[in-house]
Amino acid sequence: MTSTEMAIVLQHRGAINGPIIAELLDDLDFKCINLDISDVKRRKIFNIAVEMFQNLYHYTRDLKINGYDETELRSIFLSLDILEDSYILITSNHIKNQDIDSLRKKIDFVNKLDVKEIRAFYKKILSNEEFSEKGGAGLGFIDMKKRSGSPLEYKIEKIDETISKYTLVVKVEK
Amino acid sequence: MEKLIIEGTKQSPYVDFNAETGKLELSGRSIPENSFEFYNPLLEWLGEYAKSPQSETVLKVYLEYFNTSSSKYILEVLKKLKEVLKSNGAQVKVDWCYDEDDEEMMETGEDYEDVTGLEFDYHEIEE
Repeated sequence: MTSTEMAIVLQHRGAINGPIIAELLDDLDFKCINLDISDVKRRKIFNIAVEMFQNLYHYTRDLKINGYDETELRSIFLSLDILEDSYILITSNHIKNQDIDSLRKKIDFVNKLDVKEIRAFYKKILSNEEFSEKGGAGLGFIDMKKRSGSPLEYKIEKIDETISKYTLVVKVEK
Repeated sequence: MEKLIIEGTKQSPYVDFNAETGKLELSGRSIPENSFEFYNPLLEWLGEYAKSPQSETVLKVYLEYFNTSSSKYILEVLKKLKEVLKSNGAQVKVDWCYDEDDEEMMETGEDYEDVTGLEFDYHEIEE
């Protein structure tokens, strides 16, 4: 395991929305520029972060459960770890346990596709007119995998019978 | 027909659709959290324009970043341009611009060209 040389951490307490996401993305981009990350990799990181934030937004915007503190429930975290040979983007947020199965299925499916298949699948989903129930285009994970070139890693830790902590890890080779 | 001009923001692109010249432009960033809200007026405008278009219509797309929820609506914009082609003798071209070295953006253009069958010209813009 290579050690982290540097890390950028962005955190937000409470619900995120478009303007907050735009600000966090600018913050991330600014920090990448300061760290002299090449334009090609910086764009890649930014594009993946755009999808990760969209993902965070869709999973947390309506998160409301009796007995839970909403600010806490909707808080998000994104970090960029800079390793010797790669950049690692990590997000974490809360999800309802009932959403775990469909989430797993989506990521596992995308991970099985190779580079060629992923582009073909991207075009197929792009041109079908259905939008997923969360309002996303169903393209998020495909796009992340396409840009990253590495499998998407995730971890789901049960907090209790209702919610879990969901961590998504996307790698970009240096 | 009225021009459609929308100023760009950190989340949404600059739009300049001109029915008199047939020149249409979409540029900047497109990462709105509600893509439908942003793109619907564009699609409505194009639907109207397609009824009596100029003999030559050119859409310039120069996007720095866009999210996947926008990507579906960008496809819808391109599909509306295909309707323009139904007019007698009308021509449509897409000028797909991307920053130097942004191969991913160029590939995205190729995917759109493939899916829509429209004529695309690619322009790499030096920074």
